[in-house]
Amino acid sequence: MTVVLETIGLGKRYGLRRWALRDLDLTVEEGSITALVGPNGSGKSTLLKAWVGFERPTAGKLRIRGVDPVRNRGAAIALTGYVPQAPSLYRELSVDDHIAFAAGHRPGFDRQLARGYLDDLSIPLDSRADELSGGQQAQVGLALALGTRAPVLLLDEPLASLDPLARREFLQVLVEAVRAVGATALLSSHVITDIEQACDSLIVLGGGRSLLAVSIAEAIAGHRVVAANEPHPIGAVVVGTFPAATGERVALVRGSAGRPATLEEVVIGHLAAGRPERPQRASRKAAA
Amino acid sequence: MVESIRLTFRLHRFELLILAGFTALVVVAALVVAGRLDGLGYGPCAQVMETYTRSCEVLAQRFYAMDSREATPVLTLAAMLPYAFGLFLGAPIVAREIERGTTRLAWSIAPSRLRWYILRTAPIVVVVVLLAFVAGMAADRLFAARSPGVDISNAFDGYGYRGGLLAVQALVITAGALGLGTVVGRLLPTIIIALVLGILGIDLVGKLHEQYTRREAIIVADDGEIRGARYIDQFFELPDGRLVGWNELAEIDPAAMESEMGPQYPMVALVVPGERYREVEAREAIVLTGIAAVMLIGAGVIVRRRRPG
Amino acid sequence: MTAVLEAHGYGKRYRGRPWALRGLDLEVPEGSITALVGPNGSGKSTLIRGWIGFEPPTEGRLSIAGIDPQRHRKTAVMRSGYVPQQPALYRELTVAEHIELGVTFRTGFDADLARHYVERLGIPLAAQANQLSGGEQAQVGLALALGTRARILLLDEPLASLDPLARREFLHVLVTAVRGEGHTALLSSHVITDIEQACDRLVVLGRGRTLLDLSVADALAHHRVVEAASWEPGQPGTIGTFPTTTDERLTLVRVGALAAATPIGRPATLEEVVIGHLAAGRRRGQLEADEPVPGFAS
Repeated sequence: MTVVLETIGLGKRYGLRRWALRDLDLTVEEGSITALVGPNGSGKSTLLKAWVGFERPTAGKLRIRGVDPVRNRGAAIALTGYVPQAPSLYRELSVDDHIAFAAGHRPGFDRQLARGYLDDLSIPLDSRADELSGGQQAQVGLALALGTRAPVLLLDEPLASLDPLARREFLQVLVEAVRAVGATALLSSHVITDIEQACDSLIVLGGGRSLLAVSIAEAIAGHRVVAANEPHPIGAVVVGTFPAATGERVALVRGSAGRPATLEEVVIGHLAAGRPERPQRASRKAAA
Repeated sequence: MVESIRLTFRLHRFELLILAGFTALVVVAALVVAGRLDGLGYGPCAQVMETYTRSCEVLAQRFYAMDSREATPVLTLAAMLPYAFGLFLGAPIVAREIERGTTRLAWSIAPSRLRWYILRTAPIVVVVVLLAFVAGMAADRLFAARSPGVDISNAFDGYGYRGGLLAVQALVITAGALGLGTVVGRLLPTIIIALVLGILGIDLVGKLHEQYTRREAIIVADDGEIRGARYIDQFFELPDGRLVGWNELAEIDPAAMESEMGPQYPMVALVVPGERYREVEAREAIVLTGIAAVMLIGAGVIVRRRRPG
Repeated sequence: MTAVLEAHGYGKRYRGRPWALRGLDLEVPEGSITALVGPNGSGKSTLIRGWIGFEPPTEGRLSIAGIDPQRHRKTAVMRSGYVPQQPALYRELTVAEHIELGVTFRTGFDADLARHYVERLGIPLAAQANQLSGGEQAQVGLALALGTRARILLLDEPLASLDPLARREFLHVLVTAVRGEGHTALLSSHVITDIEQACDRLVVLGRGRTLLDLSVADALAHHRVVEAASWEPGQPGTIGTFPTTTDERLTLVRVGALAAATPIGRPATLEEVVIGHLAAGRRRGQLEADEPVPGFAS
């Protein structure tokens, strides 16, 4: 499989001490729809921005289809359809104006394609951006990115603050469009059900590092959940502990003992593992 | 490309309409007041002293009253136009986009930020210069009307408040506000800082230029009839040919200061003759344009390098 | 059932804008943890702020713990704990100082309890608010609200922008605290799995009114999804149709006692229940204030 996006020892530091990304080695395969999950401040946005040249690495390298965005930003951008974190549209301009803008600045932009997506959703092309709902604005951002016909789509929290129906509609357009042309997509999200719906791969970031980077199928197959306070079965490697949805404390483990983990639990377990040291909580809770 | 220019104008539609309207108002007002001043018929009186009659005095009163009541406000407004253009059209070009986050869209759609920058900036700069130039011409007309007997194309009257210089001032303030905006990335602070720096900057350039121009000044007899010249200083001519100022004279000949009629020595002035007006104006225009060009280029460099915010 | 939060004929509009909500009748029972779901602009925030007296109704009235929050704002504030969407913390103050502020401004504020929650989550009391992560700030906001010991908690999208672990922990604290004391909580959220974790009641708003108002258990028991292609539109029980990321579209269907006899399709997930009702709400277009709310008595 071709690697379309990669980072090699990527690091990004803000100021003197804050490393948003640290020693990151990642690959994203062609044709995949990959989710990027992690706490705010874990570098998700920074990572996505780095590929379009909005952030320069402090250390390491990154490539998009072999192109280095630091050396050749224009070429990197030309390979990308980027959906920035909302809000990013021009309030006073109409939807069609945005399309005209893209067509005027992006060689090869496909107006008909972009318009088509929006017509399918009955989003009026002559509405001003600030007259649209949040879900509609997100769709406009997506249509613009899809209109570039770029092989790689990078989406920075496109679903944040959207209601469940708007998210569902967005993902439906995204998945269909990406699969239709064999493009690759990387999107950051906080909502695991959305990720389950749309993505086939997963990257969990924490503290600027990669905590997990696997296909979703592997993630689910390779993890299980056991009660946190019981002795651990032999061969089970504990990843992290967290409260289950039903309240008791559980541990995510690799191994064959315990019950199957949901994708949400896989992610939560790794996020718990990736957190900076915290004082012991389990014993206090047991006492409480 | 036409489409991109149209979109740039749409993004600044509100400010463009208001400022174009304001300019039109100032231009019309200037022409109207100029007409009214001319209509008073004070011209002949002002030009030839011999024919100064009693009716001239009456006319003079009316003329100067109308001048201060009508011409001065209009000219003040005209002088403010370059600042208005710069702050309200120049500052937002990049700063507002950074503040609102639209640069994240624009700079990820457009592989070339430089092209984006040029398409965003050039149309606005052209419009600003054109509007300010028209205002400058109208101010010229009004100055001509309020300075009867003076050929204002060869006079320093109202220097810096009229003519082509208005367009150049607008250009440099726009370029400066734009450049500042690319660094600050927020509109309101940019406007405030640009206003202060703009006033100080133009003042500074003016003062520096004046110092420079001093070197080209000449001595002429000061019979109160020097018109249109840029007046630098005034001296008394001593019998031995020395030129002294008031303070020096007080030391040399205290009695002269106290006599009823004042010092009786002939006076001379250090002036730049009005005929040099065009040349001096052109020189200042070139310097300011050069500064504007540097700032526009600098802003472009910053746009290429900075984060979208 | 005592209702601790009520809305009667509640309507809200801002000048010159369409009605955000109109003719809303709602009752939140004591002891419940109720979810409020709906598109942005559906009035969720306004409604929550209305209950603490921040926003007067344009029409109708609200009631919190039996009093009118507009007429008795101080009491309304005293009886409720509020967690706003953006953590409303003072950036330079430490967590401990925020707790002190709570004591200063709120009679009966339980500093020990607030500190207990903060420490339990491993958040250092001496940390300045701007040094905390978003998740930690939300936790502090929750601890402060819990420290008021108010019987009614109102949380306005407290989980927006939190990662899954932070949300899980936040809700865990919320549920434990609220259920432990028999208090009531109302929280608005976009994430349905969180609602499943924490809430026992679900209210869906859209198009200015309530689209759904019932217990989570009933919502799951009374809805199924079928392939839209094989479903006759307009049949009784049809709620709404929505897309999936595969090629099929699904229709949400409300089922009654028939369900046991002839099950159609498959049971709906809670997310599908919400999405189906939102889709229906959108299709309905303009406000029809007198249309009955599809809540269930059975």
